[in-house]
Amino acid sequence: MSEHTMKTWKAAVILAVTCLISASKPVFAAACNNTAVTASTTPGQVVLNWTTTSGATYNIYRQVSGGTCAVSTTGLLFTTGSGTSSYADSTAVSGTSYCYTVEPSCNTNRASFTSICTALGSAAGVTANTSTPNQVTITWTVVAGVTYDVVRVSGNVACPLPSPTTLTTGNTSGTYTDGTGGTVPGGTVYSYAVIAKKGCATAAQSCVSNVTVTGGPGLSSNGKFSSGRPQNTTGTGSGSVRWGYQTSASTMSFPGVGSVYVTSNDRVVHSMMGTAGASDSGTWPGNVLNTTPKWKPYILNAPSQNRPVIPSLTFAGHTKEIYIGGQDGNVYCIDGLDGSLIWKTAAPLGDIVQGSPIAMLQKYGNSFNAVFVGVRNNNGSGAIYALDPFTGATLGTPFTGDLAFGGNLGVVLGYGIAEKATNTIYFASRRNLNGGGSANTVWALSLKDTSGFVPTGGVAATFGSFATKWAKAAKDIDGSPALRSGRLYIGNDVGEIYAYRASDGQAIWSQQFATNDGPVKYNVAYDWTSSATNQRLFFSTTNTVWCVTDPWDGVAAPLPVNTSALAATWSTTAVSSPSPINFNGSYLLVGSGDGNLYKFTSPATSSAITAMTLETGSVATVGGPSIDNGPGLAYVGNDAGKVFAIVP
Amino acid sequence: MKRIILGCVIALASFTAPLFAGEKCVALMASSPQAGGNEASTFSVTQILDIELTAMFPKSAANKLIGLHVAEIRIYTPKHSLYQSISLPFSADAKRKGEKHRLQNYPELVPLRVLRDLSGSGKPYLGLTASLPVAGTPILMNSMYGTWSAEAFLDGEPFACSPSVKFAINQ
Repeated sequence: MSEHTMKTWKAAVILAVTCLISASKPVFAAACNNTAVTASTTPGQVVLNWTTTSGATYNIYRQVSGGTCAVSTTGLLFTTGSGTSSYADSTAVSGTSYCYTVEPSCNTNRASFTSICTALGSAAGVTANTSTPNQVTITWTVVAGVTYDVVRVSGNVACPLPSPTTLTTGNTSGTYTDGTGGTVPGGTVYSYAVIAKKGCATAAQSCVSNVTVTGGPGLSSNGKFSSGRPQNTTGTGSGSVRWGYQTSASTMSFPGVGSVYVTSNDRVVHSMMGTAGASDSGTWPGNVLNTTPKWKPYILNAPSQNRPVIPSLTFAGHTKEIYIGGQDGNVYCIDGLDGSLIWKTAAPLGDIVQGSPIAMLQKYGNSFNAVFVGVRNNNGSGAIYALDPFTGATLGTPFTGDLAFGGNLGVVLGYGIAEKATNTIYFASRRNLNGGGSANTVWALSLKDTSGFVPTGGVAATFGSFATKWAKAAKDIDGSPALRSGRLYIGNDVGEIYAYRASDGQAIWSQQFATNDGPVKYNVAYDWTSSATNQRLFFSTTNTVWCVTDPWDGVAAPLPVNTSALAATWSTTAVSSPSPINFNGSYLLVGSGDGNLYKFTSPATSSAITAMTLETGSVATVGGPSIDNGPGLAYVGNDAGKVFAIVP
Repeated sequence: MKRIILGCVIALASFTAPLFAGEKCVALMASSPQAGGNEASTFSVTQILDIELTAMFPKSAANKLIGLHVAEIRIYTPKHSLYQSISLPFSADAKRKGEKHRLQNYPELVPLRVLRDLSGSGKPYLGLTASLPVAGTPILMNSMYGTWSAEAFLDGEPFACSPSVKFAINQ
């Protein structure tokens, strides 16, 4: 081998080795680690950490997170030096959620991402000032763009305060006064915390503990509870007042029966024992015998003016429930034994729920388990909702009107009537004359299941939707319909009574019965003891109590019946400003504007009327009476906020 | 540091201080949005949905009202019984819009109302409005017709902050 040949061979070997070294680069790429980035945060800063690969540099990308996060190479924030495994982003804005991507130079496919909400600093400078008697003023330093909640617990409690009561939210002023006007009793010890919030971030509590309120007992609260004791728990003669109970504002609605449940304008649902003759008759709240009910009054944010509905379902440990609607637009289900909340609608159904809910329950042979309720909105529109009686969730789509029947429904102010046999619900409304709404005010709605069919009455199904069966224009109506023997009776706000065939809405009378005495109140009470073909209808208007006999000939068709000569069977102005009527099968009870409850002993005539004094000297307006046939008591409230049990 | 000082200034400025005469409400006004919204003294229960009761404060007191205050509107029947009481947290500071506050005997937080300028309705005042529902209520169902009244109380004070307003409700 010549020297030249030898050099050439060596060069070939070096080249080959060089090639081999070059060929080893894919081995380096295979060792490029996945970055596996994680993030942590302190106020105004985010720190990223990742698994590094020797010799690799890293590009840091940042985007404001819009709810999703993925690898992205837009928004380059920083490029690190070789072998770096962390990065502190001090430009992160507190309360902002970011998506970070860390991309290695050794293999862009090894990039990974993480998202984080930048932490927010706690409220600073929190102090409590008790120099003003009977109130505590909390102050703190305000940071622009940050809102603050103030919370409180009783006693001297260390931070963070467990399960606190929220006193205010969204505060941006840097001050909150607990007990404005001096309503916190002196000597009370509280612990407060201020919680800063911004965007996605909620800061840790900033506490001021062991705050002792100065001053005396403090002013009484705005919503005052007062109480009395039973008056006469032994009287048995008609007119004997068995007990009285004081709420703190007018209570005019029919009490619910089953103990006695009363809604008052003081925003409280009250209950008391009504049982005649029992040793706990008329006691409250709950009982003194340590037996059920162990009632605690339930407080709402706005009054309920409903007659409570008490269905006695058994579910989730409950056996007795109260359904009411509130003027805050919500429907409530309250445990009838202890007054605790079972559920409340997740959001207001409308501006106000004025009329009572009604329940259609399979327990009582109905097809559906549903609570139906009408609502009113301040713009003059209304809606009818179906709710799950066990949870309060909305079932199906609420009924807000029907283009084929004039468009949007007007405000619904009364309760509905459900017809089990046909799965139909009847409601009344005012006209909705704003923006082309409907002039119809009497509504018959078919109740469909989730398959879009109206089930045969009594066949169990799940409620799905409403469908208009018929609708009629009967002028504005604030009251509620009554249904008997296939006939729907309804009174309107100008004092007229209409009768419709429930199956198709055909008017049964050739003309409505006109009282010319102001609105028909609440509903038409019918005398179910009279013949179905000659039945008496009772109702009240502004100054008059009426009895009208429906001249039905007993034949479903042809219709209508000629009522041109229809006249009142009787009417009387003996009861001033009469309340809505209650009929128990043998007598009528009517509240009045003169402080008395009136009993019409003979519904066939108005000749036997007895005034029963609820309270000597009182001229308070008396509301709608409820009759509890079991113990033989009537319960009624008045505008002075008192509730009475009386032997009728 | 500047931020802290600014925050302290804001906090001091919005501190709920006792109000003096001339800083409180000067009158109550009754109106109904379904009857044109102007001040009125007679309402038909079948023609409207609500009566609005507006407590009016002098504009000159706006700076005194930027803190949190609570007004209680008490409404009385023609028989002079308390029909209803409505408590409202309020402030003249528009930046406080959106706040909710815990009021005694209200189980849920109550939204703060920001006083509104009544100049558009010809009143040189700031107004705080409470709504009294009438449609479908016991007022109609029990013929509670006649002269009603309402008065406003501020921050738990025992005396009304202005003369009561009287208004008639009929059928």
